[in-house]
Amino acid sequence: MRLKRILLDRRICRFVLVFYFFVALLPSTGEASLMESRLSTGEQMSERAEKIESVRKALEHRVVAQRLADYGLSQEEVMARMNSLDDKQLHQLASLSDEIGGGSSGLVIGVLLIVLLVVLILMVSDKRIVIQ
Amino acid sequence: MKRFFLILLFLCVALTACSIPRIVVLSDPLTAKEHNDLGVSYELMGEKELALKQYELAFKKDRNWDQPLINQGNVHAGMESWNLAEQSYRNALKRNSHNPEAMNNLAYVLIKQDKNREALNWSKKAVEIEPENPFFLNTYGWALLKTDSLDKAKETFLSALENSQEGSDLQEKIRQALVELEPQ
Repeated sequence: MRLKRILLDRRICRFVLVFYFFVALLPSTGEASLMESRLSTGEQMSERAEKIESVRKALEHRVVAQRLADYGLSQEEVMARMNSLDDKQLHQLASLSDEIGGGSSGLVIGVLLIVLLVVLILMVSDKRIVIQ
Repeated sequence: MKRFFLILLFLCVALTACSIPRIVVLSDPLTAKEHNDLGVSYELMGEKELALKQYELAFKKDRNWDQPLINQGNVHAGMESWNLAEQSYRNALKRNSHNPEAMNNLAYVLIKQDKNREALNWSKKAVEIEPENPFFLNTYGWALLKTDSLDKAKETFLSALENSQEGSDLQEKIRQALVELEPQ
């Protein structure tokens, strides 16, 4: 009798209802499947986690060495610099290598300079540009 | 007058020769495949922006290859940029219209955006190509569930369960889906 009274108590019923309302609002944890990224060999990312680290180091090494060569360093200088870099520095340099030298803003400045020079030379040589 | 300008121009060039920016031609030492693999390694490290850049270099370098676009979509999906992920998978399907992984992943992001009808079409196509792939079956099951085809969804989830590896995360997901179907 006492138990029945407790179970049918209005406050308890209200609490249980509110509790279930919020539980029902929780999203389900089950969901559709997303296939992982794959290497060029067709292997999935998680399948080759250990191998991927060494692949990254080797590729970053090549990227940084190429950039140093692009900026005019000789083969010996490139080798010397590369040997002095640790993994962290190599990763930082590889991730910044496309921004070095101004990136897209450098290209815009270069194009503007060339256009300015062409216009100046044309002006000096009494030539005109006419757009019809 | 003309001679004056020419001398002035020459002087300007001569005086600023040292400060004129050098033109450096940057060459890319990596192939499309290597850019893709570098992107995968960055994705695994959690460096998502770097991964996106490498995938972009990969799919621009090889304009017929679809995998870097799928990988790019996966990074966007990981960042919950559903629109961008959807676009990447659609671009991948333009390059290879028979890639079931691109179809499945496109269905996944469509479900996330509540575009359930279209998700159903793509996931169905993926299952038609690989009818025993438990991941594709799971996605198809969810698309069916979201479009209220409950009996077909249950059947598909049971088939996915049958084909999935014992004790895997996927099996757990499928069981949760079946539980979700039970009270209905």
